[in-house]
Amino acid sequence: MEELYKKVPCRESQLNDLLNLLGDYDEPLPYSLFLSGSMATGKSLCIESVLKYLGYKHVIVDCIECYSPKLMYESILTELGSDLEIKSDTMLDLTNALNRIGNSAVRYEPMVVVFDRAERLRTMDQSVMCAFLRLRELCNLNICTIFITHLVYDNFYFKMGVREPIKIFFPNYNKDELFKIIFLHHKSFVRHVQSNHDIDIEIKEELEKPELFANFLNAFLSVFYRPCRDLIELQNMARVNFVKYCEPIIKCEIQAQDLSKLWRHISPILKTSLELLYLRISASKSSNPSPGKENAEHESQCYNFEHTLKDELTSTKTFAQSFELPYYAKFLLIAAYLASYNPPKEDKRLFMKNHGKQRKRLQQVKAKAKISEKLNTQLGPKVFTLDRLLAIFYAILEEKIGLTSNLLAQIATLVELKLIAGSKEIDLDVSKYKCIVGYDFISAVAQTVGFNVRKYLYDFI
Amino acid sequence: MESTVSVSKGVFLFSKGLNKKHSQKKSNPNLFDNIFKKEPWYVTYKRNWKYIENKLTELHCKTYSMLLNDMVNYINSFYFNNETDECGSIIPSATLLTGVNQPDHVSQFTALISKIRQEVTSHIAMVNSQDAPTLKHLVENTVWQLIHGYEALDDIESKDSQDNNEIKKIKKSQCTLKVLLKWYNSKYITVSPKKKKCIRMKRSLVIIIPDFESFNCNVLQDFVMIISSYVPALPIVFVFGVATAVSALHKSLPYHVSSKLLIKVFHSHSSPVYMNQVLEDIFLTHTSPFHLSGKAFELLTDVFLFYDFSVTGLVQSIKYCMMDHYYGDNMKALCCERENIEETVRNLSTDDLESIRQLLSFRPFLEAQLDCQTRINLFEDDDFFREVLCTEINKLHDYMYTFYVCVRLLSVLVTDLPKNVLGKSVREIYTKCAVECVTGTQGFKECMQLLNFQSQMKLVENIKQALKIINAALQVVSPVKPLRSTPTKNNLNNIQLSNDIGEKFVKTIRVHLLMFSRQIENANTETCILTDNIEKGDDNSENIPGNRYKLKEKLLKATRVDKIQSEFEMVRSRFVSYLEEMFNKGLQPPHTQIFHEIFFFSDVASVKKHIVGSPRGALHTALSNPIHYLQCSCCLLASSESVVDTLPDVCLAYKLHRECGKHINLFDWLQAFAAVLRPEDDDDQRQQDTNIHIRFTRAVAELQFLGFIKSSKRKTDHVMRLTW
Repeated sequence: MEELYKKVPCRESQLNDLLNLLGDYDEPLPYSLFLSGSMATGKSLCIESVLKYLGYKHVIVDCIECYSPKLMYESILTELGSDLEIKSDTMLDLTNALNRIGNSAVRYEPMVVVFDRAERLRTMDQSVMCAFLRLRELCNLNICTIFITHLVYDNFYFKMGVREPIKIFFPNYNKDELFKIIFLHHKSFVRHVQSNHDIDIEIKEELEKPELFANFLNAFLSVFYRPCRDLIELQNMARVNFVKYCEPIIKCEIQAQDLSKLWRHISPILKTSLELLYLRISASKSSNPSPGKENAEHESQCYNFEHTLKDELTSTKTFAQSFELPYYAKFLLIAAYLASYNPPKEDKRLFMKNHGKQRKRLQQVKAKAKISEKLNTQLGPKVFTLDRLLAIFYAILEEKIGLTSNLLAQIATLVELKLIAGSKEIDLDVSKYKCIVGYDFISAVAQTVGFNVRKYLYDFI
Repeated sequence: MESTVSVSKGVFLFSKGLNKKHSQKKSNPNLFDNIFKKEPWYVTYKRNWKYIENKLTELHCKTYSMLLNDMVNYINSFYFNNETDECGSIIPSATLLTGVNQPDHVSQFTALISKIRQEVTSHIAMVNSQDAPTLKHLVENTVWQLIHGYEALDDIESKDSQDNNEIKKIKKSQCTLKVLLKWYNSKYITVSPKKKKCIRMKRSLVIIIPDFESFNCNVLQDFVMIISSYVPALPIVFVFGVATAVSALHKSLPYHVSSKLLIKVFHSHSSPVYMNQVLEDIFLTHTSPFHLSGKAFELLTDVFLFYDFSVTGLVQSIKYCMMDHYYGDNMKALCCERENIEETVRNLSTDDLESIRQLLSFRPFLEAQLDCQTRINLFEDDDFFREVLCTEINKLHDYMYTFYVCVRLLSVLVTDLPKNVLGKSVREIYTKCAVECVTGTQGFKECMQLLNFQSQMKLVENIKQALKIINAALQVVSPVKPLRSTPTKNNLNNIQLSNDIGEKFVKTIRVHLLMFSRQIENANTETCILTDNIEKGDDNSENIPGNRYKLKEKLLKATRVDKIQSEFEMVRSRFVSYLEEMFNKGLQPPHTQIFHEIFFFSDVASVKKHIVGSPRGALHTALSNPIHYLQCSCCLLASSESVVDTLPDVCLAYKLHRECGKHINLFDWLQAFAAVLRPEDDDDQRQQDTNIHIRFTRAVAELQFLGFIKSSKRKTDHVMRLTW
């Protein structure tokens, strides 16, 4: 019992609930349980360790993995110990097979089926989840189904009435609990630091002191607790930053006891790494870099890269500049943007040289004023046809070029790069496209070819 | 190829056993070899292409080796030094930014795979987006490749594990990760912990996703989630190929997925850089057996820069040019090493010699010969002509050697000038030089002027760079030197040998450059003193107060004083004028040379159609002017709009439909169609002619098939035009 609590820290009440519900070996199990709580709150860990502790026969099914119900049924059956190669296409097959198991096995042996990421069951057939909720009725076994999901029960809709499961909610860890849990991994953190550097023995001892790590964690959580509660992510970020925290100590620049200095050292680093939260870009240098000049070069590249990455993520403009497109592809992309964000009625006025004067009727002016808050550029892209795209392309391109196969292939390339949405096949008849990059991106692209996008946008005229 | 009984042209599918296919594949190259084996041009072409191909692979290896090594080290760094700590369910993944040139990716990834196979693991799965429209396909494909990729290698490696045969029977539909897990455990963990070493036990599994962008996001997300739940048991590493930028990765993966990944980013070379490298190192050298004239070269680089950024495409189009250049022309056998010229010339037949005499560039050479006897000899005496040919080809080689050296020199001197008048890279300068005589152009003059303002430091640096190039060029050629002297020994007194090109010329350039660099370096201090003196004089005179007029005079004087050149300036202007002279000699465009047609490919027009295909244009010409393809006399048209009744029916219908608006009334169309075919009949007669009806229906159906029209539901008797 003690061991269990130790293994799953800060979840005492949930563990108690589970143990009470699943009870003793000879008691009947509840019909079904429903565990909910956001990511990384220890749901799976709790149930797994409880089941292991109780020693019940159990299956854990990852619902994402089972892209068809058949896979799910078969994996349940194989785990529950029917040694034959069973084909089980439907729920009926499953219950039949389960009954057969029940007949052969010890009566009232408790069995548990756990569905991890149960939110996926919603996209399957309606009846699947309903049936699993009352699996015990359907087969003659002491069986219990447990659903683990990050959604609350209200998000599951059922057409017919179902037997409601017993719900257990896992709240987020609070700051103290996070501290406690990460602190448990102190040893591995220190090992991680040591594996990256070779260190004197004295300093090693310093690093192994729990006070140092505790201080670091305090500092770390004070920055990161607000934006992120995900334990796994926090652990990962802490690992990365603890190395940086220890660097000056290893290099003997700052004494391990000098907390304020260390804080001053780490706080800017923490702030910058806050921007990389959830991105999981490892900037760690290769562990055994090749000697000589290349090494220095590599490191500087690494450094530069971190900066560009940050920029790239913050603005689409740098995203656009971060990769190079062929010349005509750029124009095609601009044409696609113009086609998406201009009403087709206005094409003639925008792209023809002598389009004649447009008489402004009062009605039109009013109409335009009315929708001025709904500018085309803010309404999102409209669908356009290939013909229109090519017409605009030729209108904005000054030089005359033939409609070659290379040009048409570029459209497919742009689709493939996810800059234009649509079908890859070029079909005169049906193909419809949509430009799916924003104004910032286009203006950055247009800048590189010296093209003024605003001049051709209906909204800005 | 087997023939069919069918009359119509088309693609036929023959179902054949696998073995038969293999034999066919083998025989295919033989077919070419058999027909052309004895043709000298084919032999030359083959040898030269092989030479280029080898060079390409060499370069490819060199440029990618560092990147590949980095990636392999990264992949290796996980799971090999394991037992560090449990990372939970985090999948290490390498992201390779490949650039938008998609045709080139294949070679990159095959190189990566072979490298991984050699150094890390044989369990590699590469899944393309078209193979994995759904999660099911993706998982099945991956697992199948991971399991079976091993056997392909295992056959060679060892045949000790007979139990593999059982696993081999796994059907694709049975491949799930559970199966993979079972297979992996049986293979590496439980079976033989004693036999194999610890390292071998933990072979990592590499999953490569080469075209990340074109995957369905949801499929990938689910896939990553599934894999992440298996990572504690299976050492899996991802490799993503991302064409655009890293943020594409984060855009398509939400945070709960991306937090399962540990991403390290690798940059591959940008393709324009790689293209420059390919061109400079392989094609723009005097050792290259095949040269492109300025126009052709421009076309190819334009296709690259404007359309697709694909180096593979570029190389393929160069190959096409090469085939076009060599095909069926025995004089192209002269494109060979210097040592072999004499022999090849000896082997040329009389017909070949005659065709060489027909070359355009031969005429000015002929006219330059004053002696009547030599002219006649050139035409009649084959042996004499052979000798001349020999020397001229050697001269051409010399010319090419100096030409390329000069192009490189010019590019070094010009690269960091402001405004980039001549361009930055060697290839741009080559295009300029090859099209026309560059020394006569405005850009070249501007550049020389700008050089005249360059600072000492820069100049010295540039000259040093230039010397490096010359030395490299001399090194390449020096082993050839003794052999080269032989042909010049021939007593051809009447044909003047211009000694000033080739290796000697380059050597003199080196001497001159050395001299200039020394002079410029030495001039350094003296100029400083000189200018200082002048300034001092100015200071003195300025101290004396005077009226405006005096000041003006003084300033005028000062400008005049400045005009007295310092030593450095003198040297510099001498240097620039030397450069002008030198480049004038060395940078004569290729088309001024005799027999340049043999080495330089210039038939742009014919190749353009094939390299830059325009399907719609071709269709339009075929339909509006069928004579272009049919070459018949009956369809002769006065203008492109006119119609004749002898035209094929489709063409007729096409032409008539071009006169209509968006919607075409079928009845009117039929009337017009019939009116053209039967101009003499009246309407009623025409309408009753079923023959015309049938022909018209068929023509319309064909047009619809070609995608010009489609039927509309709104107006049942109308069709819609789709092209304009």
